[in-house]
Amino acid sequence: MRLFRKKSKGPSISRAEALDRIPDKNVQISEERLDSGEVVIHYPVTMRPLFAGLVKRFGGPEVQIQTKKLQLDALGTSVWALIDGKCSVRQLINSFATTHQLEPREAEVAVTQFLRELGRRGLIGIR
Amino acid sequence: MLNRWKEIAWYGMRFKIPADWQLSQIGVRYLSIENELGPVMEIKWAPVKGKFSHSTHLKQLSALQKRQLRKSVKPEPVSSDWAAALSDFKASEFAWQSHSTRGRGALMYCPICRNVTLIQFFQKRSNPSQAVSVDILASIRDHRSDGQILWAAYDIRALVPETYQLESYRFEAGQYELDFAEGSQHVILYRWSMASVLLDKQDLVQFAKTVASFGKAEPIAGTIDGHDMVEWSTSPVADWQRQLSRFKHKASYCWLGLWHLEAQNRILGVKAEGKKPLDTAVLDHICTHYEIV
Repeated sequence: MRLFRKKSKGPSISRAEALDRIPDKNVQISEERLDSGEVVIHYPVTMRPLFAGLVKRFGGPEVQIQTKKLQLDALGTSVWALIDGKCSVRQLINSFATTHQLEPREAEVAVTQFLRELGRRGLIGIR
Repeated sequence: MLNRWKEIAWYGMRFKIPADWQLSQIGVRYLSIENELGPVMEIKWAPVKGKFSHSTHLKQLSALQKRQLRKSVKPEPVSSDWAAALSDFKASEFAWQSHSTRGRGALMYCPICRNVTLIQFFQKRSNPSQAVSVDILASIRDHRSDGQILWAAYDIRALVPETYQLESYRFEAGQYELDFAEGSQHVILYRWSMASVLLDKQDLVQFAKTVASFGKAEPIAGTIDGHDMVEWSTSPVADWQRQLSRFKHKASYCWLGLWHLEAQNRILGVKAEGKKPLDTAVLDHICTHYEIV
């Protein structure tokens, strides 16, 4: 019997498949457009149990949901505006590359990193 | 036909690839290229020390392959479809197959520059067409006779004297940087993209100040070939400062030139630094041949 069995990796998808996925915005978020044109996203975050326990102990509310803000810069705002629940990641990249006269690879890295960050914060889902 | 191909040049190697193929990995004398379905081609090269042998060098250069595959790779005579394209080289051909991929490649030795090159095309579901591989092979050049080395990757193209060795490189979204050195003198090529964003809240002079700091010297704004540019330089003025600069660890002679290519939405930059006076003719030559393609 092997003691240290190698963990099986989850199902992996190819790059082409990943680029064909469609990002969509979380319905629980709200957006605010600043005078500068940049977007601020308000999104709910559940407090960590340790902090939730402390807040409760000091007489805070039972349900610990905070609202956080994320202000996007001009580029982030332009990608955010492209996310409509219909365009695939590939289409977002092509559109971003064309608008900003970027190399396809450079646009791909920038857009996918940004989408990953949005996904990590729960602002978008990918289907 | 011509504009459907783009030129790649790296560490003295030059070739053309279809416009929709992209560089996916860059190493020292190594390039991997992919299309939207995955890797399609890889090329490795190295100078030959001593006697050239097809089997020995094939074994050395195919070190990236899995061990079982590496054993099965044997040099064969070049088949007729590739023979004309490889006529400038002493070449042999090889092929391999794994459970998901097939590979076909060539080992090429140039007797003029004594360089050996391994190139291979990967074939999965859809193969790069035969004509494409022949055109790529026919476009390969591994030496020049003018003492210059061409560097062309992604959207930058630069011609640098061969005495300058590439010390480091960085290709990040938004910023590329190639650092060349000849002795203690460094020439660094920069490329920033989305100039419209970078220069949205600052001008080129203010942007230049974020790239380098030259003490009391102030950058000078001007134009070059109709493009906005900034030039900035510093050097020891007095005799005693020149003498002292020899013992300093930091470079005493510095020059920075930045220019804004508005139509391409890019900023290009060249920085030179050294402990000895900079060769302005070389800098002029590098700046003139540094461009966006």
